[in-house]
Amino acid sequence: MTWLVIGIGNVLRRDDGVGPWLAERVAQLRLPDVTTMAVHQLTPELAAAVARHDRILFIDASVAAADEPIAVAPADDGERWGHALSPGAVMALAGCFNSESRQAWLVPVPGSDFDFGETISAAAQARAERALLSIAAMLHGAPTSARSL
Amino acid sequence: MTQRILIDPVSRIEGHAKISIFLDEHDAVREARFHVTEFRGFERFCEGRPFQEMPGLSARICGICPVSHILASSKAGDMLLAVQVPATALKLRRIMNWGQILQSHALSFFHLSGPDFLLGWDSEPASRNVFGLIAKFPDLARQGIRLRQFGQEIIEGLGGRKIHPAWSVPGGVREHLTTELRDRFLGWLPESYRAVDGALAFFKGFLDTHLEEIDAFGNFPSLFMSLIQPDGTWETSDGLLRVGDATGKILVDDPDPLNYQTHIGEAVERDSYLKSPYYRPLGYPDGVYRVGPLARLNLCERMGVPRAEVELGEFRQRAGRVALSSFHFHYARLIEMLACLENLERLLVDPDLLSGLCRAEAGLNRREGVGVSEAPRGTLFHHYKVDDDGRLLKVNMIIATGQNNLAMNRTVTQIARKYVHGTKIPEPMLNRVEAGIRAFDPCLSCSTHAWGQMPLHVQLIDPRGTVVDEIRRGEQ
Repeated sequence: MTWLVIGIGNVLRRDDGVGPWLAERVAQLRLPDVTTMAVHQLTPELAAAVARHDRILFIDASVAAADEPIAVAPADDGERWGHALSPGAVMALAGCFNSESRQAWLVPVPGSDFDFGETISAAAQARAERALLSIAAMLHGAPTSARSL
Repeated sequence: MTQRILIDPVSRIEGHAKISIFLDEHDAVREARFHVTEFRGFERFCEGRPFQEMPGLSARICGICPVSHILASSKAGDMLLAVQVPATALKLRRIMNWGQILQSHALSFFHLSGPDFLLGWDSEPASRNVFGLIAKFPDLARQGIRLRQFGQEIIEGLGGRKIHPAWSVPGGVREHLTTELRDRFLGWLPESYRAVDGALAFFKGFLDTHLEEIDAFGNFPSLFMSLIQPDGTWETSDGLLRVGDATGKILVDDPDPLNYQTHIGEAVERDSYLKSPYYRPLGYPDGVYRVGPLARLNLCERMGVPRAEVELGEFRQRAGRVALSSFHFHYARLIEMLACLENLERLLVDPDLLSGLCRAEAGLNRREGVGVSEAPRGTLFHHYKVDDDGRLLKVNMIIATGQNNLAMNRTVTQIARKYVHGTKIPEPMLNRVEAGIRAFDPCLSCSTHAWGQMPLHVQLIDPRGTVVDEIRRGEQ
């Protein structure tokens, strides 16, 4: 089973870059059959890469309250479509390439500081570190239904 | 009593905007207005920065067409350095620009406007989107993705990344093309030709059966503006600035970018953050002109590559020597994609791309520079004034979408007059008005130097300013 981990965000807007930051941390784990990428936003051509994998994990910053658990949910929304896509839209487009069944989840990591800057806040980093443990467990085969981290 | 219809937000375009439709006492459409409701202010906050930073800074205006800003900014920097940019760099910049046009046009045609063409304006709104498109036409959706992927690979391959590549700089470019990349790019061509050929065949059939839309979607005389090669060949990077009228008469062929303000004035409307550039000799608002694929095809005398040349001939047979309907932006986009592929095929085998000088080094030699380039949506101007240390004192950017602002207003007015009858907003009308805007493929992040997403909001307003009907759709 192959995984694609996509970190989404603007690395020049502090905590918005937590997705790419986590993707890099996942890459450093050098897990077998796990590919990572960091993107500014989701675009249609990502569908081609998604279509080559069995499981997809989108990691994005969220504006949820910092004390809320990180609710990992299936990435099956399909509403957003324009120059930037939602995870669900990318998954739908991947269906144009092959009919393989694949699953995807969204990991929203709460951020609190979206000002200009290339470093994520200490609070977001602490949440991201906790999320990383659970993400690693998912990539190792832990149950991947909707869950809280 | 006059009334106003408000479409807010407009969907399947880049950015955030709304449309107001004003009715007169007899419930007939008096006027429609396209308002851009987001603001960013890039021109001001770039002041004080070194001009060498501008390709990287201005690229942040947009994640969709950053290459356009990088190229225009680099060209303004070339002028400040007063250097002759090496031929290798000019060729490589062209290649990146063709990649940019390819990926942007593919997204516009296949995925943003494709649902309208393939599923129909009157189809069920819930499925008239890219998901409906995927369900019914998966091959076309995939071909669109692959074309865009090719364009993005060119940008990423040359620039090191797809978004905001810091590769083109004042004086040239940072790196050559490698043989490995060249071969990879060439390998994309057969599949890409098939995709564009298929889209052209489909769209010509569509045109044959949608004469009403062609007639109603922004079909009016206007001026057109684009870059052009000195011999009249289609151009995307350098050359003369040409302005022509609706009869084909050439009004301006100016080789000096510093003269742009002789030809263009910028008006500000109180209800939109989008400026309204106009052709200065005719004044505001009579000096309405259009830029982008339609303008480039109307103003050129030839495409310069054989297959696109044949398509230009058919385009003119169908639409006239000067195509006036904004609906033909779509058709022009397809022909430009073909021209990009042919030009890539021709230039990628040039050995100059692999070695030789690719950047001219110099200090500041001028205090003022203007860079002009053709973005996918039309002519893009970057104008910088700097102090003796090269810090920016003044920045002016004239963006393609802004230059189409007056034409977009005329387009939505024309469509509303045809399809709006009474004080309610029927769904097919709403979508046709939106589609009139989509024909221009506006990029509002660029044009207001703004950020945001673009859903659609339409308001119907009476003569006393009361909103009597309102639809919001697609907010995210």
